[in-house]
Amino acid sequence: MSAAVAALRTEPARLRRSRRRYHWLAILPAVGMLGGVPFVNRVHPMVFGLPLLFAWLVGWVLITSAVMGCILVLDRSHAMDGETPGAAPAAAEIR
Amino acid sequence: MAALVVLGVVFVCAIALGLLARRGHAMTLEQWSVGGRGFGGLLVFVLMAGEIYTTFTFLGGSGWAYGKGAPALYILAYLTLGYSLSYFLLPAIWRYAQGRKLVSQADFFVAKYDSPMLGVLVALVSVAALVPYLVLQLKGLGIIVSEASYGAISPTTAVWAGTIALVGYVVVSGVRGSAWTAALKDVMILTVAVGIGIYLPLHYYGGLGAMFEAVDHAKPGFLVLARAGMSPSWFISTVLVSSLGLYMWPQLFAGVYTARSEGVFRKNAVVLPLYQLVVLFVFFIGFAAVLVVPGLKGADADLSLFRIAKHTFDPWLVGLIGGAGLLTALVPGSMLLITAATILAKNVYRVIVPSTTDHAVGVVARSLVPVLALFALVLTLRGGQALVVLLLIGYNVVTQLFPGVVLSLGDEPRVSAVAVMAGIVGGELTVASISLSGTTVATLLPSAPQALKDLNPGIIALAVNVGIIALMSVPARWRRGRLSTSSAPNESLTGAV
Repeated sequence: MSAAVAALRTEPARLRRSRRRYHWLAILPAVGMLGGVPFVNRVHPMVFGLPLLFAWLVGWVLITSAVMGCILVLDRSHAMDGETPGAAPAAAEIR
Repeated sequence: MAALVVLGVVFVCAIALGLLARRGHAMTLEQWSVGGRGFGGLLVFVLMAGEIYTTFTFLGGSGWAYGKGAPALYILAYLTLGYSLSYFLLPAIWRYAQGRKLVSQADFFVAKYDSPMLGVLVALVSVAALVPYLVLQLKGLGIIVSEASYGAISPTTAVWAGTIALVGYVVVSGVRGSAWTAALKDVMILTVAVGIGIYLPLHYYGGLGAMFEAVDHAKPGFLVLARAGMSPSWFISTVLVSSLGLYMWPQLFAGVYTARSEGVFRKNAVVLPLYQLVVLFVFFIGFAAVLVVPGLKGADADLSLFRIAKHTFDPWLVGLIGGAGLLTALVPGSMLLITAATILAKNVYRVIVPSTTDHAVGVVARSLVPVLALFALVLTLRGGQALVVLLLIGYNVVTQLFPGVVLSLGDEPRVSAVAVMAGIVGGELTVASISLSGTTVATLLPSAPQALKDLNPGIIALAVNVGIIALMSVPARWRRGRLSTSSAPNESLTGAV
């Protein structure tokens, strides 16, 4: 544990961050979902029986799950390459 | 009568599961409150998802859809964004808590900022937020029992019965009971919510689209956000405050400690947004009730789900719906009680009486459960707030802890304990004065643009909070930067915690 923590400390934070630029994708749901609200604040056209505002939010719930899924897959493939010790030292110990 | 019998059977099952879960585990404080940190993916998932499906989602969600219409959708949005944030937040919290024997949220602050006094403050804030949440669950319990009895049991008696059941359940089983009952609860609530959420629009209107057309026709503007008041600006700010606050709830924060590994949270962040779509079906129930059982005003809107169910179904089915509702109050309610009791015993009592042994802290925690429950009971019987109002106040209170958590996530905290304390105090005073006096941006700045007037007051409190932290930290950092360019910063301190 302490060795892993030490490794984590000594690795420059900038290096750790630059490899995970795709983490910024996680902002997409917040910006998209909320940013659109003033423009889709209406009942018609209905989508699958839902008022437009409802359909918009539900659509973004699905997109959010998909985006987080992509980030998870990318994180896992990075962790397997052993590129990113910063990702999960504790998880590595458990395996 | 049939409804009450079914309700009773569900309750007995819940108690039995709680007792079964207890076997084979010695009840230390760590076992009782964080399940010995041995929970795998499925159990943590169930526990965390279970936390979200409270009486609020069930009765408050349908009640808000019934009473307010489109603004209820904020629930769907903030949960989704809260989960996506959790992907980054929770693994970091979990990693830090590992091996440090942290039990409560306040422990995290104590360890990170090396300040027991900050721990006391956080503990008091979390309990202050937990109480309205607990009141909300008890109110829900009262509604469920009295509605399922078809008026035979008065709401007051029902709240008493519910509270006694809750306390008995908590003292018997602790957090393991919560996890297993949560599984039962989720199966029931999923079946009930999705089932009647699909059935009611079909039965009364012939379809979802037809239902919304009918509601839109009868109440124009009900299915969109208003131009003033609960406007898009209100919606966006409320979603933001609530999504930042989601995992600042002490029971969810401490729930993080129960996990066996951090990968659990990343998977949850993908699955939970989909899982909470069930809330949509709860809304459908509320919208269906708008034209079927009209006339429920104010806080009575929370009754809409049961009123339409009784209008539509046989008593035994109403009992089953009540049983699902009972579990949505019992499971989160037990977690709330355990969390509040643990926090008060460990982070307040022990700081005042430092000689207390671990065993004694456990005893104090367990004996605080009935005291807290009684306190919440008194508040429940006195107040007449709608469920969602209670929740919004609670969220504004817990969100004030967010800056302190985020600023501590690096290798060492970026700000001092004193700055965080001042920020929390400033933020909470703002929340309190706003909630008590009914102040809004509109009354403060009458000539401001409408979008600004409709902002959720929690945003203002958060701004005050962050502002205070910044004011107290920037000069300090600047001084330190000048003084300590030659000597290394005190890194060894954080390692020693």
